[in-house]
Amino acid sequence: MVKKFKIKWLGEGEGILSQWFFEDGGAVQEDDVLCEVMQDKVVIEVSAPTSGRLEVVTAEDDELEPDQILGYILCD
Amino acid sequence: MTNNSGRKLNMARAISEAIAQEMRLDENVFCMGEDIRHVAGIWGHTAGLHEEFGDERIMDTPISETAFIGAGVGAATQGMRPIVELMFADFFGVCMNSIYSAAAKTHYMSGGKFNVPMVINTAVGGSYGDAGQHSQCLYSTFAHLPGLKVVLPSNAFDAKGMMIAAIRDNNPVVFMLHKNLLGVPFLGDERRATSMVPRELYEVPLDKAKIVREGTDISLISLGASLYHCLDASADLEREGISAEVLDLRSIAPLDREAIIATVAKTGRLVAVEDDYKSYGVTAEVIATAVESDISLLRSAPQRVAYPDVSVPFSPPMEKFCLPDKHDIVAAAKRTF
Amino acid sequence: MKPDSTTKLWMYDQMLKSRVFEREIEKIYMEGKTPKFDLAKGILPGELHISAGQEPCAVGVIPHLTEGDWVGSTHRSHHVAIAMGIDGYKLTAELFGKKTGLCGGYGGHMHLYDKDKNFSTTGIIGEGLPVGLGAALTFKKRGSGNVAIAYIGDGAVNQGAFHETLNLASVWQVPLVVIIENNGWAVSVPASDSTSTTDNVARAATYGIDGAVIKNNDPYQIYSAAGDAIERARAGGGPSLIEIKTRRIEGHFMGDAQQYRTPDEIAEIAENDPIPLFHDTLIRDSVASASELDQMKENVQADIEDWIKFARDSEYPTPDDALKMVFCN
Repeated sequence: MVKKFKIKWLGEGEGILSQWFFEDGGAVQEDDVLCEVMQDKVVIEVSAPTSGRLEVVTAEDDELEPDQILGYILCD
Repeated sequence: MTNNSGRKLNMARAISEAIAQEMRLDENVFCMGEDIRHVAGIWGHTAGLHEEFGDERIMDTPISETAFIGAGVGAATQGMRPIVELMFADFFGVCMNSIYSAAAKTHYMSGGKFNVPMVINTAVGGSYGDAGQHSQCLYSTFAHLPGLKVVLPSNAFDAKGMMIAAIRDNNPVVFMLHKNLLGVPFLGDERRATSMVPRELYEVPLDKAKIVREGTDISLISLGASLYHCLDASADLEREGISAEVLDLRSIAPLDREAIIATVAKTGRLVAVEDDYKSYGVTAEVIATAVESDISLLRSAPQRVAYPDVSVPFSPPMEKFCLPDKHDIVAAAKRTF
Repeated sequence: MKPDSTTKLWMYDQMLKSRVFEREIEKIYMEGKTPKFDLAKGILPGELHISAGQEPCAVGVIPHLTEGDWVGSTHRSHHVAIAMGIDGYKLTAELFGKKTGLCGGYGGHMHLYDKDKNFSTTGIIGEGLPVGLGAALTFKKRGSGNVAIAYIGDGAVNQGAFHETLNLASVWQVPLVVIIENNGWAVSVPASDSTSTTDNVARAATYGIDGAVIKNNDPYQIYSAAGDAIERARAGGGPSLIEIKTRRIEGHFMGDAQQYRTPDEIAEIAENDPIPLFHDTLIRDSVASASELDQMKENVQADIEDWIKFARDSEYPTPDDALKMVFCN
């Protein structure tokens, strides 16, 4: 069974997905910094809630809405 | 060692990971500097360290560079392995004695009795409007002084390996952080500096340059942010049928003179590129190295592309004018044909 | 020493000018820098250090100056520049990097120089102290009666230059007044963590010079202490150290999220904003009416907008102007 975990953008207001540090399908460990989001001068690092394989949903340089799904982590 | 972690880090994070991993191994490693606890030293390269190691080993200091860099020297002679912060290389003026006299000369003057295993982190580079006192590179200012190792990694992989090597090195190492390459979001965006970084500890030597692009017609030798302008220039030159080889110096002192001579021997043409003031600089040293080994290696006069001999101006069109870019490099390359 | 009514109104006007200027410049600074904050982008590149909260430190001191006096300030200097009457058009144009700027675009926000007003700023902590010492030495040699005022922050008291300057100023007995704008923070490092004395004024005694501390950012108390120190210096009474416990309302630089400050502290600062407090003082003391003070604010707003328009409309320097100015003829 494959469990999917969402990585959400929980910010308020405008943001931009600045950079992914893993590729789609990459193996991630819990607490790895998956990507960086910039919001109003602050850099927010989005960390992996669990280990597994990354599925990228939102691309680099995309502007973000609050609560937007950035990706999933699939774990067996 | 293969780099197949599948994980990228930006240069700032690669450096903080290196420091954290070494600090876990060796209790003698500790950090001193301004703003390293709560704002990661401004550049992000000490991120996460205070949370893990606390006030005892990650120490915020007053604005007293002479005192805390000098204290780093003292602690190092007593067996500690301090990492100290000179926030901007431009600030060397207030504390250079602690660096170029105390740190650099102790091993030599003591006939080898004392050594100074210390890392001095310092940020270099401009291009974002920080003007005359916050934008300098000063590579040769530090490299000129015997007793200091001076390095400038261009990417995250090299940065982690070189930081680990620097901490383990028993000599004082000035570890330069190029502001345009760290991945600091508010300082520009050279994505190529972010790279795959192995999770484990590894070293990258502090005295070896690296060929980052192979070529046959001309050697472009550079470091730091200018390296990426050389890569961009190479793409343009390729379209015109000129195959450029690009050498990343990585280390300024000691300089990998063998690598410089090897690439010039291969191609016969040389453009050296840096973003530091032109006269008396790294590019001059690269050219001297090529020429004094065997003048017949060169088919034409070597060129250097560098920042002019002026203070860094504030106004954007003036600053842009001064900064070397790929157009300057392509033009210089063509002058060698 | 108390300011007269004219001076009081002037003080309020200058505080307003500074604050409105900073608020307008903050907005312009962010133009072109969102959503991805990048110092290099936008019409005001580079760093910006806002002086909001520290206005009393300028308006309490500047009224005592005369022609020829020297003033040095820091990376956070707009309130001092404005109170000194530096040409607002040229000041604004310099921040924009325009040819019409105070320094022709060469210096920018941290490096403001005005020859006529004998005013200079630096981005290097403590650099201005020995320079001010030299100006004061010159005034003593010439017997001109002028004074040198050197502004620093609380971070600078831990630089070697601070100690060397105070010692030498005392040994030479020169007309130097050092003003510490103690806002309690050196970027993210609180003074409590970096400084061995709670009141920096204690250091004055170590160097055999007069010291005064103003604990509450009050323009009148600053005026009084500065007036005494400057009068004494002019009369050959030697250097002084004045410490002002002031407040930095914003972060260290524009873009500083200030996550190292507690919400309580930030709220406390807002409650003690010197401008509304001074506004109420002026009304309570019948120096001006509320409507007069409102009118002043409108006038100030109009002036600042004029400065900004001038800056926006001005030309940039020619790129290769960068190669000039290294040496003078």
